[in-house]
Amino acid sequence: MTTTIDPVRPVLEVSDLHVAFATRRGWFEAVRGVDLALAAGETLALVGESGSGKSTLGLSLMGLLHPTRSRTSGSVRLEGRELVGAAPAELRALRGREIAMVFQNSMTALNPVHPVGRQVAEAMLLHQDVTRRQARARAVELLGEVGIADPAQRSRDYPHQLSGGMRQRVMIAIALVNEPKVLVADEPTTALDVTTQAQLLELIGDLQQRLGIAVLLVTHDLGVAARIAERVAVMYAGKIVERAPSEPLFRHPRHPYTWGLLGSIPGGGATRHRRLDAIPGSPPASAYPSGCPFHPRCAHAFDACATTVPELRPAVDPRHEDACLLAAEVKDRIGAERGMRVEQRGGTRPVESGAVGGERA
Amino acid sequence: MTLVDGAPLLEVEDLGKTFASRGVLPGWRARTPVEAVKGVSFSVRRGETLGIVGESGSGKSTTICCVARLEQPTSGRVVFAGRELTGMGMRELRRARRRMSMIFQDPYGSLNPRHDVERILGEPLELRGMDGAARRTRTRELLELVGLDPACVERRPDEFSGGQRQRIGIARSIALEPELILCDEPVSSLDVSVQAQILNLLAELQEQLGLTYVFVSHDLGVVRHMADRVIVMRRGEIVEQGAIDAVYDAPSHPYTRELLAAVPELVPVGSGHDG
Repeated sequence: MTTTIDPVRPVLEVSDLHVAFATRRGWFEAVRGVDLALAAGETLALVGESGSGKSTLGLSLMGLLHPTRSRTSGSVRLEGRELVGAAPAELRALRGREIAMVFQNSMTALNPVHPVGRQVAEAMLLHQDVTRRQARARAVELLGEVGIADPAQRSRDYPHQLSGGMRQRVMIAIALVNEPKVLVADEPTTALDVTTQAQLLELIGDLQQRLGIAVLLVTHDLGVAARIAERVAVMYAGKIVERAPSEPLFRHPRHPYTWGLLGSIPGGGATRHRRLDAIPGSPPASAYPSGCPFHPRCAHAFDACATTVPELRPAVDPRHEDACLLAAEVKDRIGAERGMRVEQRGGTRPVESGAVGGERA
Repeated sequence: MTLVDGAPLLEVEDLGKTFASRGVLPGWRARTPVEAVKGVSFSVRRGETLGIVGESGSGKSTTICCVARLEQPTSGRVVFAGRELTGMGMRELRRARRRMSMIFQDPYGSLNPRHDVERILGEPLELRGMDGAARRTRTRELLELVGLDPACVERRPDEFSGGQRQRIGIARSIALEPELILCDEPVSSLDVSVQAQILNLLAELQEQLGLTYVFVSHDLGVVRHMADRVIVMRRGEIVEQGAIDAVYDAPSHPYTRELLAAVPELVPVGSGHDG
């Protein structure tokens, strides 16, 4: 996937973003100072485990966090317009129009009592000056474009009548009906079977190329990230700990957390029956450690790691940044041992057809 | 590599399970019966791990539920350690089943939230007739085996993370020293880094205790890592089975090829695997 990235004018620019939630024990910061820029036509994968803040980051871009139970500071600029602190009416005008989202759970994200075609049309009616009839027609057309067979018929179905893969296609149609600049996809394929997942990732890639949308893909799955993203940012404990174009990130990972994630993946032919290099412990859930947030689980930590907070800094390649205090030579050496490459066997099967008929509901 | 001797511990012959749903209300039309498992046959030797992969609805979970007779198979035979489980009466079945156990996918739903760890682990031991003191010793022993602090016996499931809960579930499943453990998506709800810990634990326990696993998962990578042999299921039927490398490196059925093609594999740079 090659796209022209214009680093001068990113579509989406996030700087020093902090998001905190109110808990019984006070404010808990889920996102702690994230900077990122996304160019038109580019896919950035935000990879992390549960609790890393990746989904919270996605939701905060959409302005979908609770207005009083959460607190957002920093800056999110969409084509130069500031979203943090924007008036609700202003956000409503942008949301679904300029920036749209696809959620993981299509069963709860879609309205169960409306036919899916109507839900696609509704998104269009909200933001564009079209008649109901035009919106309906466009909805059917778009359902066809996202790979739903017999779209006129299917548009009258309710969400429960469609398979999970079909519902996810409907969500993509809703998100794309207004041709937004930015698409936030939060674990869009996680709940799906692998063959359906492959088709949907291909679909998202195709549409993105055609429409020049910037995609922020939130995922816990490194394989998915490796497959469709041009750049990957690894999050841990509310911060980006490593970021690079996809190929160097997997081939020469520089952060010990990334090493751990890659070492944890079972099934690579060479690692079979061997002990996986699991990361000990679990991600911080209620309080962050001092210094580097990863140091209590890190096999390479030294004294300074407990006191100094490492900043995200570029290595020799300015596009490859990591937040780790280890010496560059150490990162080079271990990174070379831990590198991975993507291996793909053949293509994927053609678009699935119809609704529940052939498949299990 | 695990030590595998020739004698089959589990034999499944022509297993079938049909779910016939009745109408919700009198007069409502019943739905067509669903054949969840059709003509499934396989055997598992002592000490080996048999993987079962398939997509949702393929019948992989129903198959192992039928093996444990948590579901009543509609047809076929299940022979475990030389004795036929299908057709056994409840009392006899309970005795036979002591030598097998299950690990479930959901570490939240499979532990009673109102019981502390002492009770969760003590219950199977009590059923076996162990007295209080012996139970307490064994409970602590089990916690150590699965890598948990024995001091946590008084805590309840909600005080543990998902990975720790799965360790408790594993401790419970090995409490009665089973020979066979049926694992139903045991790591599917865990984060990758925690998943790797649990897979390592399962491998260690297998070696230490000489366990035999039937390992059900939708994750092809996990199955490749754990299994010696694999069964690929689709719509209730086995489409392919064989030694793990043979199936993954040279799949003979188009569906297996399609499944493998759908998942890009991250492999170490410089490994000779598949060139």
